[in-house]
Order: sequence, then structure tokens, then C-alpha cells
Amino acid sequence: MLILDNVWAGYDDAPPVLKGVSFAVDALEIVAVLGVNGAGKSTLLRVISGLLPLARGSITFEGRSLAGVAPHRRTALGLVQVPEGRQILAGMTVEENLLLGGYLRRGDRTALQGATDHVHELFPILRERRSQAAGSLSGGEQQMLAIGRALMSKPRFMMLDEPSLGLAPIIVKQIFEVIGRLRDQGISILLVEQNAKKAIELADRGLVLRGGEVVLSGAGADLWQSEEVKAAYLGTIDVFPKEQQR
Amino acid sequence: MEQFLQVVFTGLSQGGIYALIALGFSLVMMATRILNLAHGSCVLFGGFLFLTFAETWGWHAALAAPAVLVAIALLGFATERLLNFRVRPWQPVSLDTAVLTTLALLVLFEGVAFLAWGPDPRRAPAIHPGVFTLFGAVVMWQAVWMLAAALAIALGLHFFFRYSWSGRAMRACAENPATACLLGINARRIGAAAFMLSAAVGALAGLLVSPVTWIDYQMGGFFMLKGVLAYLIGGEEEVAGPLAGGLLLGLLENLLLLFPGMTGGLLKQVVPMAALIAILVFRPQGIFAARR
Amino acid sequence: MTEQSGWALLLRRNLAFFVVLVALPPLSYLLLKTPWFYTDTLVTTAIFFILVMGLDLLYGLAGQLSLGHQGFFAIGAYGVAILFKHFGWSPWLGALCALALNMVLALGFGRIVLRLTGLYFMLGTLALGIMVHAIITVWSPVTGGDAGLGGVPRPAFFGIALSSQTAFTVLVWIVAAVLFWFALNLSRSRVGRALRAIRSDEVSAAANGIDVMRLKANVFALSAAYASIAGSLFAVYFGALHPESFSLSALLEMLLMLFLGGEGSIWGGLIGTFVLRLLPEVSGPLHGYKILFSGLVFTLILFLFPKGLAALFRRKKPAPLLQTEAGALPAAAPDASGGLRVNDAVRSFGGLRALDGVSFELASGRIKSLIGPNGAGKTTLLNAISGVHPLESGRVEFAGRPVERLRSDEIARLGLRRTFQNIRLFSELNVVENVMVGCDKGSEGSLMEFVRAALPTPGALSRERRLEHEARRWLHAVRLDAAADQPVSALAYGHRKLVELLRAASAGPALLLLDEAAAGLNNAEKQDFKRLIRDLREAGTTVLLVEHDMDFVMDISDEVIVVNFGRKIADGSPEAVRGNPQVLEAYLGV
Repeated sequence: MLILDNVWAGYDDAPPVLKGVSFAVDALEIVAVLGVNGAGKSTLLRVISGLLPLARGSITFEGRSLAGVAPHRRTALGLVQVPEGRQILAGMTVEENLLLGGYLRRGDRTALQGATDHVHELFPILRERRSQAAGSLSGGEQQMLAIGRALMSKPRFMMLDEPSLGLAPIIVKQIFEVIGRLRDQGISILLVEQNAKKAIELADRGLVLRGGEVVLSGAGADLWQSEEVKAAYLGTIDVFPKEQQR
Repeated sequence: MEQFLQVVFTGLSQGGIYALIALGFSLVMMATRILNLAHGSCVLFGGFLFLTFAETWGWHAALAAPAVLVAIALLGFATERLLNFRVRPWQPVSLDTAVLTTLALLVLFEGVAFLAWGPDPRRAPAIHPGVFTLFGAVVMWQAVWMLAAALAIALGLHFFFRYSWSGRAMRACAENPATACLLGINARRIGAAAFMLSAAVGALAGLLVSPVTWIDYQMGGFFMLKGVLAYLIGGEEEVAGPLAGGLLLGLLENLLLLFPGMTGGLLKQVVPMAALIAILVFRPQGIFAARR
Repeated sequence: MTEQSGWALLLRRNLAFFVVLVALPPLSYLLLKTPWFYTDTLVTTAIFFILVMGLDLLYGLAGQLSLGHQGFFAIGAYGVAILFKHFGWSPWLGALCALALNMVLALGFGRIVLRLTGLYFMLGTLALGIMVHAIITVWSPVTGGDAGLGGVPRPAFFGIALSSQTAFTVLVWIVAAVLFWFALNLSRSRVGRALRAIRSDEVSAAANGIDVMRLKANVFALSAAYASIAGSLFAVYFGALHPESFSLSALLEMLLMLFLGGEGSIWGGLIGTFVLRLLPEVSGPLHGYKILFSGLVFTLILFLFPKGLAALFRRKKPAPLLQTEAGALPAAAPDASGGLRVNDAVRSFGGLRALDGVSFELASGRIKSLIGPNGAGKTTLLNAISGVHPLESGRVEFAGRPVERLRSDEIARLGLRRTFQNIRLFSELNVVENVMVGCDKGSEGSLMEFVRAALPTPGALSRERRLEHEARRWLHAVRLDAAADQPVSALAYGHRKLVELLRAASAGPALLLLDEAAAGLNNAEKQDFKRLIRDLREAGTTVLLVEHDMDFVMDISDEVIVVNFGRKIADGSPEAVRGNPQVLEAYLGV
């Protein structure tokens, strides 16, 4: 469904953050992207959304190349992102935030109503806080709003950038449950996370980014137990520092 | 007493014009976070163009007015393109660049105004000529139109921002253009629409005020200043702020004129500016702070 | 490297001025023969050059766009005229009085509006300019109102009658040359460097010990002074004043002159002014074309040549030196102890508790790493310690005193320096100048400093030269000699990070905070960094660093502290922390 081929990307004058990333996400699966801060996870999502141009390589979505396609058009194609830090529109109400999620379907009132009901069903708290300013919600509620908003446009592919960031474990559990249900309802998911254990438990497959490159891909326990994941997060277990190995 | 009422009515009608100009600023600020200092030129051109259509070419007001609005809206579109042609929609231009460029445009438009309409002050024909008396004070029909227009536009914009898709999209772009793009909103198109709408509102102010005041090529700056003042006094609330700010400013200026002779004139110029500085320092979000 | 004496430096730098001084008498004789039109252009060019220089000091150096400059110009002009007309004061006295008034006004008003961010500062100064113009236009009994004010005589200058065009031309140009000399010296001095740092990045400037508010206020007063002098000269030259010359249009003309010539160069104003003054005064339809032309030129300049015509004359930088062996780090022992103590630090953002009662200690001369998952509160903690974003509650003790209520530049001057997550180098300064800001240990920005900068003594010039040599030695230590005279944007990411580290280290801080010390660096660069940090610790600096690369952290640290959800979950030796099951859980998932 989504295919990245040898993607290189970076910011302005800096050296490339992504160095030849290639992977694919098929229909109806959840793929987790793991790695520490600075490994390139958020950059990866920005590139797929179109907010950052590619230096090299290609991205294909449902057989169609995304080269030159502006971000708002990618959303129209069914490729939706829930950005890092939620990025909800704090000055607007919960209801308005959801409505704006459905901007692309604004002509079809029935469809929008149906979508809103669906979101309320997944996250009942959003119905409760319907008329409240979105900025007054707690972190977890904001995350739910952000996901709900993304669902309004009836996406076929959803990308989530660190949904567990700054949230209490019990809220994270709730949200991950919902993400699992979304996959069952027909949406493919690319999940960028720092919380490796939870992400691997949920995902069908996972890949580890380190220094802008994919160093490992696999599934389940293999991934979790692997030295690479540990190394990616906590450094090698070797006693001797890297420089002496040269 | 009659004098006081007279002042109040004049103040409200002038305030209506200020409010319209401020609403124009607000539109662009809302959607793009740019303070368009060339907005005053839209007001000026609105007045002058109406003069040309209605008087020089002899069109009926009902035809001339909409024509002016459309023409100036196109000018707004061109301004937006100029400011943003090098920039990605989700990364707005820097403040210094925006201020300096719009100032440069202000000068440019001043030159165009001079060349097209000459150096002398002109006056356009009124939409609704004549006067009537109300509680002993003399009121121009045109003044009623000015106030009514301000209220109507304010109301219209209120509904626009609250209940229309484009209005909501504009608010989203103002808060977070990158996220708005991720929601499928074409930020560039929204920005252009905001500029066009803002220009049209400004032009409306211009064509309504030009029969009442003599306008000349240099008044772009004057209109801009009044609008900015009204906008900042009222606060950044989308609609209520500029409306209230404009009306307050109009009333304040005219009430100060009640002071005899030169003192009045002096106060009229100085007090609003001093008030602006005070607001900037103590309450920069304006008297009607936005519900943030 | 040979050290040149201060006198030699003074002579070399000011050679042009000495030449002009010597050439003055024959030049004056020539002027006697010149037709009035040309001398008139010369005089008005000089007056507006002084005016624009004031604007350039404020915007070109410090980055503050004042839209009220014409107000100070007006006070300078009308001050002289009014004091003569109504009190019979000599124009000299009047000019001095106006100057004093303007500076007081600028200092007072400056303290108020300079606290405001960019847009509001512009609007505040715009309001001031308009108020002054309005007062002039309306207060007819005093200022003559719309009709203007006339009858200002040319005073005598120690017996020489200035009514002669030649004499006045010479006077005006001497004043302009002297003021230009002051401004140029200021621009090239440590104060100029500090101002450019402020323009580039106020937060970073403060973190490097620069008293931002004070410098901004003083440069604002200085720009008002220049405008005042220009105004007084204007009044005396034309003899009559009209409000039109001090309106918004006048401001726009000034801005055009500034940008045409090139903001930031000081002398660019001369080109801009000259070109515009050459445009003939026209009336009728041509006036419209003139305005149109100005507007067009202004717009084009902003898009195509934002740095103005002066940029065309930029001197070529010297050829880069060959890469040499890395030298020794010229680090000196810091003055104070770098010990740090944090107690119960609390800070929230909206509903989120970024720091929830963190406490730890760092003994002087140790290297401690602060690690934790993304969003755990690490940068917030560094920001709190360095004064960038103060705590809600809690205590920070550094250099033996509580610092949680101090501004970031005050804490910096106590001996704390830091780097930033997203590298905040000064874009208006080149590489060696960035490091010089560090070597200079900050700037208090007092008026005395300004005066000393405008009138450099041989001693001051020697000091500057020594500072530059020191900065180059630091660059030499990491093999970045070749990059010294380049703009920071020309450097690769890793090198920029190094320069930021050098800027912090060269200030000889007792405590060094490194935010994401090695992020984005390749292996070789990381080794350089580790070496540098170790060398600094050898010299006595205490280091607290935030980092995600665990190899790096475990290798370099004496101690490691782990935070998660704003709370400390471990604090001890690297081995102890790595083996701690809680830490593993925090990183890999609960």
C-alpha cells in the first residue's frame, strides 16, 4: 500500500537525516517504527506527508507516486497523519476540531454525521466535551481528539507520530487498544513510537531506525528480545568504547 | 445636548468606517498572521475607483459598487501572491519582510493613485445623499449606511467564521498552517481568499467614506493607521474586537473634539496613539481579548 | 603570530580619515567655486546620511525596526526652531536641548516598548512617530501648524559666519564624518558584535552573557541622538520647517534610503541617500512617477537585494589556510566553582507537568549526563537552570547562591554557559566572531561601553586583536581554522555544533550545559566532542549534558541521572544506571 524506496531527506544545510530508507506497509497491517530521538522517525513521517521534500528516492501510495503531490492532496488520497504533540487547534471547540478533520467531505452532511458518531463511539469522552475548547482537554483527551480528527476523513492509511508522548501508561493502553481496533476496521497503520514494548506488542511488524537507516525489521518477540533494539536504545553492551575497536 | 448627540452620531458613523478597515486587517491576520500595512490602499482605491465608475463613467451605484469590490478583491489576490510566491504555504514569511514589503507596496500604490487620479482631493457621489434629523441632531443618510455596513459585515463575518467551511478553515490556518495542510486544507488558497475578502471589505469602507471625506492619493497611510489602531484597541477577537475597536475609536475621536478650539484637535490626534501605546504595554491582546 | 601595537592598528584603520582631514583645506577652496545646486545636494545628503545612520544602528546592527524614527528627527528640528522663535535661544543651545530631550525620551520610551516583541515594537514606535507629527501639525501657536515655522538663522561658529554655503557645507560634512566614524567604530567593536548577536538570536545572546534589554535601550537612545542631530542641522540649513517633512512619507523615504544602500553596513546609508537625493525635485505628474518609482524600487530591493547596494562592494575574504594539526585547547581554569544543586524543581506546560519535583547535585569538576525518554523534561530542566524558562517552584543553587529568579544573562555572567538543542549560533556574525562572543564573556551594554566603543583607544584595539587571536586558537584546536571567516551558514552541521561548543567553552565557564551534545554527529565528530569535553574537565569545568546516544553517555560520564515523566528515577554511576531495571523499563516500555 505504501512503499518507500531508498528515501534520503534532510533539513536545509544539515546532513541528511534519512539515509536510504526502504520499507513497505501492506493493507490491514500495523507497522511500528522504533528508535531514539534523532534517529529520524518524525522526519520520516514529514516526508511521507509531504511537508519535507525528498532529496532522493521515491514514495508510492496505492500504486501512485507521491512526487510533487502537496500535503493537502495526500490527505485527499486517504493518507492521513496524526502529528507529534497532537497539534490540535486549541482555540476551537472539540466539535469544530472534529469537523475540520472532515473538511474534505464537507459537502456530504450525512457522511460527516456518521463519521462524528463513529468517533464518539470510539472515544465517548469527546462527545461529553463536545463544546469545550480543545485547549482545555488533558493530554490523553487531546490525543484521542487528534486521532478522532484524523478518522473523520475516512482514511485508508493512518500515520501516528509518538501517540504515547507524555501520557500516563493507562491512557496509553486505552489509545493503543483503539489503534488496534482501527486496523481491524480496515485502516493500515504506520506507528512511530519511542515506547518500544507497547508498540511491538501491538504491531504486526516493526522496524528500527538508527542514525537515519533501517537497522532491523521483524516481528513480535524476536524484535523485542533482539540486541539491536537494546543497542538502539541503550547503547552496546560492550565494555570497550567504540573508538578502541577501530 | 444636540451637540453631544451630533458628536455621538458622527462618531458612530466614522467608527463604522474604522471598524470596516479593522475587520479587513483582522481577516488577513486571522488567516495568515501577516499585518498587511498596504490594506489602507485598498480603502483608498475603493473610494477612487467608485468615483471613476459612478461619476466619470456614469454607472449606476448598484453596478459601480459591486464592480469596485471585485476589482479590489483582485488587487488583494495580487498582493498575497507577491508576499508569498517564494514561500511554502505552511511556513509563513518573516515579520520584518511582511512589514517592509507591505510598506513598500503602500508607497507604490500611492504613486499609482497620484498618476491615476491626480494630486487634488476628490469626492465621490454618495450612495444615499441627503440628511434627516434625529432628536435634534443632523444625520447624513450616508452615515447610516456606513454604520449599517459595518454591523452587517461584522455579523456576516461572525457567521462566516463560525458556521462556514471556509471560515473554519481560515481559523485553522491562522492557528497552525502545517496541521491545516495535514487536514486537507489548501492553505495557499485559503490565504488568497482571505486577502481577497479583506480587500473587498476595505474597498467597501472606501466607497462609503469617499462621499463624506475628501480623499487624496496620500490617504492610504491614514486609513491604514486608523484601521491598525482600531484593530489593536479592540483586540484580536475575530469580529467583536475590530468592530468594538472601530466604534470606540470613532466615538473617542469625536468626543475629544468637544474640547474647545485647538485643544480638541490636539487631543484627538494624541489620545488615540497614547491609548495604543498603553494597550501595547499593559494589555496587548486588546480590550476584548480572544477566547484563548 | 605577530602582535601589532595598538597605535599601529589605530593608524591603519583610520587612514582614510587622516587623508581626508589633510585634504580638507584644498577641498574647501574647491567648494567655493562650486555652483549652489551641487553644494545643496551635498548638504542634504549629509543631513539625511546622519539620519539614516541612526536607523542603521538600530535596525542594521540590533535588528529593531523602529517606525517612529521621524519623530526624533522632528523633535531635533522643531526643538531648535521653537526655542529660537519663542525664547531667543541660540540654535546651538537649542540643538543641545533637543538632543537631551530626545535621548531621555528614547531611554524612557525604549524601556517600555523594547520589552515588546517585534510587531508590537514596530507599532509602538509607529504610534510615537505619529503622535509627534500630530502634535506638530495641530499645535499651531507653538509650532506654526500646517503653515510651518520659519526664521531660524544660521548661527556663527566661533566667529565664522555659517550663512555662507561653503562654510555650512564643510561644517555639515565634518559632523557627518565624525558621526560616521563613531558609528563605524561601534559597528566593528565588541558592542557592535553584541548588537548583531541580539539581532540574530536574543535568547542565545542572553545565554552568552549579553544584557539584551540594556543594549537595546542604549542603541535606541543612540539612534534617537543621531536623528536629533540631523534634525537640528536640517532646521538650521533650511531655516523653515514644515510638518510634511516629518510625516509617514518621510519615514518611508528613510527606509528606502536605508535598504537601497544596504542595511547593516553603516556606510550603505550614504549610497542610498546620495542616489535618492540625486532624484530631482519634481512637481506635477512627474511627482507621481517619482513616488511610483520609489515604491517599485523599494519592493524590488526587498526581493532581489535585501542587503542593498553595499553588498556589491563586500570585500573578498582571505584565502583559506591549509588544514593543520589540531592544537592544544587554550582552556583556562574557570574563576568560580561549578557545583550545582537543584531542589524540587517543578514546571508545568498547560496541564502537563514537565518537571515534577526533580532534585540532584553535581559536584564541581565532574561530568554528569541527564538522560530519559523523549518528553521526559530534560530540556525543560536545562532551560530552568540556565534561566531561559524559570521554574514554577523549586531551588537552583549555582556558584554558591540561589539563581532560580535570575535572568539568563545574569546567570551566564556568573559563569554558566550552554549549548542548545537546535544550535543557536549568531547568523549575523561569522564563525570567528561567534567564538569571540564567547571569549569576550558577554557584554553589560552600559553607555560607557558604547562611548568606549565609539572612541577606541589603542589599548582597546589591542584587546580586540588579542580576543580575535584567542578565538582563532580555539578554532585551530579543532581544525576549523579554514572556516574562521566564513558565515555560519556555510558550515556543515557537525562543524556548527563544534563552533557552538567553542563559543560556550571559550568563555571559561565554571559550569557548562550541553543540550543534545552529540545529536546528529557522525562517529569522528563524536570523538572530537568527547575529547573536547574531557579536556575542558581537565581545565576545571563542570559539565552537565543531555544526550540520547548511550555509547557516548556511558563513555564520558562520571555520573548519570535518569528522568521520566518529570521525575528522577535513577542517579549514579553509568554501570549502575545501565543495570537498573527501572531504567530499562522506562526506555523500552512499561
